[in-house]
Amino acid sequence: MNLMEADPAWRRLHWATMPMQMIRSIRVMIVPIVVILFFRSRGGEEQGRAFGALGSAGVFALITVAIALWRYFSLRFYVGANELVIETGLIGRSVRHIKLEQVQDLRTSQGVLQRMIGVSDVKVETAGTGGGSEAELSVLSLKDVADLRAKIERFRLAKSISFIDASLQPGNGLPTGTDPQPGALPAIALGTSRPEELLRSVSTKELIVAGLTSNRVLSGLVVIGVTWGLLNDFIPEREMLAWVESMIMRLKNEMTADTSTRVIIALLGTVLLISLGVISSVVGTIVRFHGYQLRRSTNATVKGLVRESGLFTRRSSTLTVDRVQTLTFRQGVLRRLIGRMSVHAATAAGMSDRDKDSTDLLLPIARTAEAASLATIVFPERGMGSVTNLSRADRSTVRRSNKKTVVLVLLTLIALVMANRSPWSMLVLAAIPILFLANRRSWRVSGHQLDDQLDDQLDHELNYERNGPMLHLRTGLIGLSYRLMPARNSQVILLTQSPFDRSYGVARLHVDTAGEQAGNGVSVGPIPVSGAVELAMKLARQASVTTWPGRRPDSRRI
Amino acid sequence: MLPVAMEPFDISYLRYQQWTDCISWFVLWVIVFVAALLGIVFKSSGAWWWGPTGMVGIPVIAMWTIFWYHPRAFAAGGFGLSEDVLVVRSGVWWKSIELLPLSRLQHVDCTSGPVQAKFDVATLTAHTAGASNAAVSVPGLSRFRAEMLRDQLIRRSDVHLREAEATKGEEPVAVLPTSGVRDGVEN
Repeated sequence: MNLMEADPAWRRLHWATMPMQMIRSIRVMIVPIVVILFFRSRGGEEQGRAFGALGSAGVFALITVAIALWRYFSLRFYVGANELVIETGLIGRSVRHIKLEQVQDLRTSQGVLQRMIGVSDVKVETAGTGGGSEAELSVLSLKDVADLRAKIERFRLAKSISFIDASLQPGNGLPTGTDPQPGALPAIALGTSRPEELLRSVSTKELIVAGLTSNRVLSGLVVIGVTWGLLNDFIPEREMLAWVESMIMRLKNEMTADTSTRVIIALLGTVLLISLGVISSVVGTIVRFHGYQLRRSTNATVKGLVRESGLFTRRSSTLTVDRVQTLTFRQGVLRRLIGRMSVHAATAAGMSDRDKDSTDLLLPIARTAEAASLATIVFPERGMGSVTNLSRADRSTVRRSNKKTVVLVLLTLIALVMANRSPWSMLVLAAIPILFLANRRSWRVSGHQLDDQLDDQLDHELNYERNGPMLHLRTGLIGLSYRLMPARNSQVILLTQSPFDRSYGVARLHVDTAGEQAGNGVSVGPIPVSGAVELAMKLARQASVTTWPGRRPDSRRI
Repeated sequence: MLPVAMEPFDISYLRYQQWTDCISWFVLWVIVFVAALLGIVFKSSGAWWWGPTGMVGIPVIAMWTIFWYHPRAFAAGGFGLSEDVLVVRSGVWWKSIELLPLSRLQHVDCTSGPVQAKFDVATLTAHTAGASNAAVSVPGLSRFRAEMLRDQLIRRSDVHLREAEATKGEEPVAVLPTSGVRDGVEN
C-alpha cells in the first residue's frame, strides 16, 4: 500500500460531483437534442434519423456517466501544514503541490442546484496563473470549503505572527520567511464561520440605478443577437428566412408610404433598441450583483475582503488586501450627475472571473464618500492621502495633441478619398473641432501626483509603513477614472518618447505592476521630461527599498 | 538627466547587428534578383519596374540602415546599474528608458545564440512579476560583462542582503568598469 494512501488526511470531492458533472455534460447537448426531437421528426421519413440521434444521445449519456465517475474517483486532495496537495488521475497520477502562502484567492460559486444540495465550486488562484485558476475543486461541501479557507487564513496568520515576533527580537534582522510549523499555528476553530465585518451591502434599488447608469445600451444588440441565435437553433433555417423576408417586405411597404411614417418607424426602432439595452443592463446587473455584500476579515493580521453576490448563482471570493496593486474609482457621465462611482481593484492573481478590463470589481456602485473610504481599508495608513491638487501637464501638450489630431484626420481623409473617391469623405474634417474640444477636456481632467507627504511622520511614529508614497492619477473625457497605486507596487517603470513628444519636451511614463494583465499598470502623461524622469526615479527607488508581498510576508521600509 | 551613470553596449554588438543586417539584406536582394530574372525569361506581363527598383533600392536601404541607423541606435542605447535600480536606454526616434527596481527581480536569463557567440555578444534579460513590460533586456554585452552583470543583479536584488551590508559598513562591490557616462532621454 502506498504511504500516501494510508494518510487519513486525503479527502475526495463531494459525492454531488457526479450528478453535477452529468448535468453539465447534458446541458451542452440539450439544445441539439430538443431540435432533433421537435423539428427533425416532423417529416415521417426523418423519424428513423431522429431515433438514430436518440441512440447517439444514449451513448453520450453513458460516456457522461463514465466521465462523472472518473472525475469523482480520480481526484483527491489534502490540506497540509503549508500546502494544498491535489492528486489527479487513476492510471497515470499527477500530484500538484500549491503552497498556501501563494494562494491569492479562493473563489466559490454556487448555482441554484448547488445551493440546494449545499455544495460549491472552488477555484484556487495564485499569482501568475494567467488565463485561469491554479486548481479547480468542483464540487466541495460547504464544510470542506470553510475548512480550506480557515486553514489558509490560519497559515497566513501564523506567518504574520512569526514575522512580527522575529522583527521584535532585539538585534535581529528581518526574518527569513520560513514556513510556520504546524504546532505553531494559532488556534482557530476549523469549520466555524470566520470573523467578518460587513463593510457595504448594495440594495436592489441601488442595483437598478447601477444598471440604468452602466452605459450598456449596446447590450440591446447583444440581446437581439443571442435571441436570433437561439431561434436559429430551434426553428429550421428556411422558416426563419421566410419570416424575415415577409418582415422586410412589410417594412418596405411602410417606408414607401410617407416621410412621417418613416420617421415614426425609425424612432420606434431606436426606442425599442434603447429599451432593450436598458432592460438587459438592469436585469443583468441584478442577476449578477443581487444581495451584494462586501465584508472585511476582522482578523488583525490577515486582511481580506470577501465579496458575495448573485441571484441564481451565488459567487463568493476573497481578495487579499496585500495583493491589491491598484485601486480605481470610475464614474461614467450619468454616475457623475448622481454622485455615484464603482470601485475596482487590480490584483496580482490570475484573471478568471474578472471584469473585461482585467480588474476585480470591489463595489458595483457606491456614493463617492463611501467609495473613498474603501481606499483606507485597502491601503491602510494612507487611504486617499493628502493630495489636494494634481499636477497637470503643460498647456502646450494640448497643442501637441491637436497637431497629432490634424495629422491623423488628414491621413484618414487621404485613405478615404483614395478608397471611394467621394466628396462625402470631406465630412471627416468635421471631426477636427470635436477632437480639439476632447483634447482640451482631457488635458483639464487629467493629472497625477506622488503623495509622499506622510513619509516622515510615519517613519517617526511607526518606524515602518505598509504602503509608502502613493501615486494618484486622474484621467477621463466625459467620464472620470481615478487610480491609486502605492509606489512599492512598481515592477518595471517605462519612459517613452516619440519624435512628436520630443519636439514638445514631454514623455510618457508607464508603471507596470504585478499580474498577468496589461491593464494592471498605470500610465501617466504626456508630462514634461524632467518631471517624468524624476517621478520614474522616485517610484523605482521606493519600490527598490520595499519588498513585494509576493516575495515576503510583509513590506518594510529601510 | 538620469542620476545613474550610463554605460554603452559593447562595440561588438554594433558589428554583430551590422553583419547580420548585411546578410539579411543580401539574401533579400538575391531573391529579388532571381525573381526579376525569371520575370524577364518568362516575359511576365506584369509591372516590369519592380525588379530594377528592388535591385537598386535594397542596397540603398541596406547602406542606410547599416551605416546610419545602427551606429545611431548603438549610440542611443546603454544601461546603468545603481545600488537599487537597473536602467536600460534605447531608441533612435522612439526613445525609451526602462527602470527596474532590483528588489522586483524574479530571475535573470543570459542568452547567446551561435551567431551572437561568434561576435561575443550576449543578451541579458531580467524578469519581474509584471504584466505588459515584465522583462527588461540588456542586449549588447560581451558574455563576460553579461555574466558579471547577472551576478550583480542577483546580489543586489535582495533588499535584506543590501541592508545587512549597509549596516556592516561594507562598501558595495564595484560591478562593471564604467567606460562612459551618458544620460537623459534627449540624448
